[in-house]
Amino acid sequence: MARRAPQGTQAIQRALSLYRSFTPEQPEHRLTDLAAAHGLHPSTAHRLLGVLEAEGLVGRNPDTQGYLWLPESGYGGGERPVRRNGMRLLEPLRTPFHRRTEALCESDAWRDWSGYTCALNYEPQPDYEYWAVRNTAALIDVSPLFKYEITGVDAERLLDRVMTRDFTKCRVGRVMYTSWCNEDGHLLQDGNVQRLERERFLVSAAEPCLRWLEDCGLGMDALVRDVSTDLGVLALQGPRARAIAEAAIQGVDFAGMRYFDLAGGELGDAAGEDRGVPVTVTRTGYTGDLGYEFWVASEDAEALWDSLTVAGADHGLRPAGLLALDMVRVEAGLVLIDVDYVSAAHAEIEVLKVTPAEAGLGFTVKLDKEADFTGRRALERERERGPAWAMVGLEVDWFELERLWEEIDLRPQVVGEPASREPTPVFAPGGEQVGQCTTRFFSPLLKKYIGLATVQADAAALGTALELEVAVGYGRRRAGARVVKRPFFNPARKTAVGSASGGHG
Amino acid sequence: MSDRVAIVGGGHNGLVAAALLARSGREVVLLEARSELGGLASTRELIPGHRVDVGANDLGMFRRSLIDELELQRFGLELIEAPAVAAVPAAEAVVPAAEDGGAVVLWPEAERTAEGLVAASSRDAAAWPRFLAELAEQAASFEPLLGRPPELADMGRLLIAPGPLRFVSAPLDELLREWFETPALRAALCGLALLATGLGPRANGTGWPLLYHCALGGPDRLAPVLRARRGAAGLAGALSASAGASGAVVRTDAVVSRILVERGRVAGVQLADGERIEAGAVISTATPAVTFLDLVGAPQLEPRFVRRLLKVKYRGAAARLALSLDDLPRFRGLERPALTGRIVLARDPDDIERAADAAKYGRLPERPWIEAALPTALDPSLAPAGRHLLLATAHHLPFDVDGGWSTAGPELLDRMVAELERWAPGVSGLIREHALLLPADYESEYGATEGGLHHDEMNPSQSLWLRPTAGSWAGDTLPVEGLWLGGAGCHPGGGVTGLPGRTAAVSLLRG
Repeated sequence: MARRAPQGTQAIQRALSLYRSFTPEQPEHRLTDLAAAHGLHPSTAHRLLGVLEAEGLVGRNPDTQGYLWLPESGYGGGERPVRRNGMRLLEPLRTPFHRRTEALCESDAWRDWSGYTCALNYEPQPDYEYWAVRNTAALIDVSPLFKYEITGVDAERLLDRVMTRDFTKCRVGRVMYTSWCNEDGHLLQDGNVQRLERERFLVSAAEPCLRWLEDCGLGMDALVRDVSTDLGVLALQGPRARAIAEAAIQGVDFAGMRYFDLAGGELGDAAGEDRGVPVTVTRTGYTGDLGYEFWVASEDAEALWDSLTVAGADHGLRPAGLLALDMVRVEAGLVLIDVDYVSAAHAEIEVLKVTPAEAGLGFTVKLDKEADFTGRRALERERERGPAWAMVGLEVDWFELERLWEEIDLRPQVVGEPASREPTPVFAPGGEQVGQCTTRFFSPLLKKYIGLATVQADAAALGTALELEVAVGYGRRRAGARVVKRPFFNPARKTAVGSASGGHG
Repeated sequence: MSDRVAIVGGGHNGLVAAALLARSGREVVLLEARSELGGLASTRELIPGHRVDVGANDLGMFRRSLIDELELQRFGLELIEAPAVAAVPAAEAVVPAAEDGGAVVLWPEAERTAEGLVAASSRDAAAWPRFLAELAEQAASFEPLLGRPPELADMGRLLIAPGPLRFVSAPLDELLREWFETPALRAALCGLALLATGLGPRANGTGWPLLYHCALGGPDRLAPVLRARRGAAGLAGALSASAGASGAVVRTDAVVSRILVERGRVAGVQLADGERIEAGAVISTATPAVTFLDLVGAPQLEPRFVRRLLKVKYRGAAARLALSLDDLPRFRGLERPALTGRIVLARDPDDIERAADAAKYGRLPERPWIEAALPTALDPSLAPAGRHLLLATAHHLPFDVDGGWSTAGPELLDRMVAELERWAPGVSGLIREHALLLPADYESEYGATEGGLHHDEMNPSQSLWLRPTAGSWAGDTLPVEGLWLGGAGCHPGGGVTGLPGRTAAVSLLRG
């Protein structure tokens, strides 16, 4: 599990030899080629090149993502990188799809996601993007996910030790959605784990967890590699996703793929020039709809985007931004880290920490599994006494909402708004606060004002009457709500398997 | 769940725990990997016909009450008190004995030491009894903590008492300069304190080992040098006999390869030959690294505990050179009674500091500083008639020495002999046979991680509530239920005290 930063003179020698590879004849190199030519691990080469880049000695070619010699900058005069107070300005990162998303982003509305600049909505309003997920198909750049490859004889053992799910039961070609906890059984993150080979897994996570994986793997024959920047990830979601995927990707039996299956394919149709570009396909997504996620080497990212766009032209495919994603994931009842729960990794006070069960992820905790996974004993104790909190779906009484707004002569100003992430108190009817609603929005599809809420366990039963604080104008009012089933929307096409190109759900 | 207690390691701490638990009616099995008991306080015939102590040869810090409680004298322990505690011979420079470079001898009796110091410095002679009183006062703050697990209430008490806090945290050399002008006197005290430590006397935190030494010594004096007849193994022999008489099973040549843990609770131990021994509790006297990383295994432990475990420093490598001599060597300026204690071969604390400097950078010291002992001066039976045994220990050695020990070992031997010759001219002509134990040998043969003879280094950042790691100390809060540490690596620490083993046994009995 040794993963050391290059040190001392060796690092200087390596950096100089990397720098010497750039010549007027060959001013540009790909990371993987450079690493191979110098016998370096790509992550080592990446770090060293990062230093050269920060010094203005090399740059990145925005077209190819390759490293580019900057003979005139740095010490040779010419244009220097912008600096202020001696510091290089922090620039947002670009995903491997950025040139494509940037060209399409009419609204110029961007949001930071783990340091990456991501389209919030492509059009001035997210409506069409939202409807594309439910009616046709949408393309969502989810590359900012942190990605870790775990290889080695003990790769399965490491995952089984870290994760609450039973990875001895994860077959090659499957993806498992799982939680992972700290020693006290408090939820650190949730995420998907792909089993690509017997001894090769890929963990995708919303937040960094390299050190955690390494620490948990101490004493095991397993290597954890941060491949976050090596891969671009595109989600293709919506009823037409299968038809589009079939047209764009070769070698994958999309009709036969079950929910959370994984397959390897290639880009391009028979005539396409991108044929041969390998793509990993998972039948996963964050929308609760039929859909796939495509995992591709960063340098092939644009080819993937283009193939899917071409294939999707006749199917009403649209790029969708983060606002639309946030809406559909609520309909799907899917929780979001640091919105619906706080990771124990950075919960500042004890009371913010939750167990998987309290975050609605109890189904990912397998106390019958063999391995003594981190947090197990705390979760066993929790099972005995029961979780203190529960994640529930809330549906607000629309007529009551209308009545409250009528008092100030307005219709409810929630329709056509993106999801609100402002935590809002939830009360027992006419009584004390029993929890908080962390995400809510008016679902255009369901025609309901719905939300995800964490409430005391005794207020979590289906049908429980509650009250949600709502801002009506400048007033704080309470609207009646009740606990309903999650997911709010769960079409059969999400999991359906069959030869038909699942067009309608 | 089995009622049996399995004890890993038959050093003096493991044997103390075995004897105490057996006396309390517990079923005890002790497992020692080697053929002989005693661990780093054992005696082997490293030179034919000679009984060579492989590590500790001074039992002066062993808790007296244990001798009575476990009836060690009835079970054969015979202790001989050396007339001298420590001595620094006259340095090689030709100077009048009364001036810089003269010999210094520390006796158990304060007045006798002071009398001897008058020749070097009447000021130091006058300061000596006051220094001992001050030391005793500071040490008294710690003495009660050393015989039991430290409690958080103790921490508050110590934090508001500025004296002990300063003594614990300051560099030893600076503290001693405040009292004494004679370099050899300061060297003698540094030599007593900084055995098996990586830190030199100018490093912060080196006051602590001297306090530790004094706290375990006696109420108002330096710990006397006590030797067991027939070698340090005499203690292990008596402890083993005492434990056996109470029903403990003491097994040698029993190599524990795993401490079995099921769902966070200890289940027993597994031996290298596959034998499983069920046990409801295990006391491990191996180092924290060996116990948790090798025997339990990191995958069985909470990541936050493993993180802390990986930060433990084991600096404190030393090498033991045993020499069979034709006669007692003549150390300049030392009469025969002065040769019975620890002989510190350093002109001043800087000699120790320079050795520590070299070790810090992975190099052998040009002049290793040696702590020497002449056990045959007290007990001639340790060597054949007409022979004497000189045990020379070079401290402050790098464990990962440049070039490796296969080349550094012979070089160290030459430098140690040359150093001895400087202090005792003619000694090299007396050498008949020799044996050398290197830091790598202490690790491979005695499980001393990185050759650290105190297991984890005895510095304040790894002592008391921090030993072996913050939040996980003796008798408390270790992450595996039913597993206790009972060796030098846990509170209170190294040296032949019996206290880590006693603390483990007492904590276990208390539940």
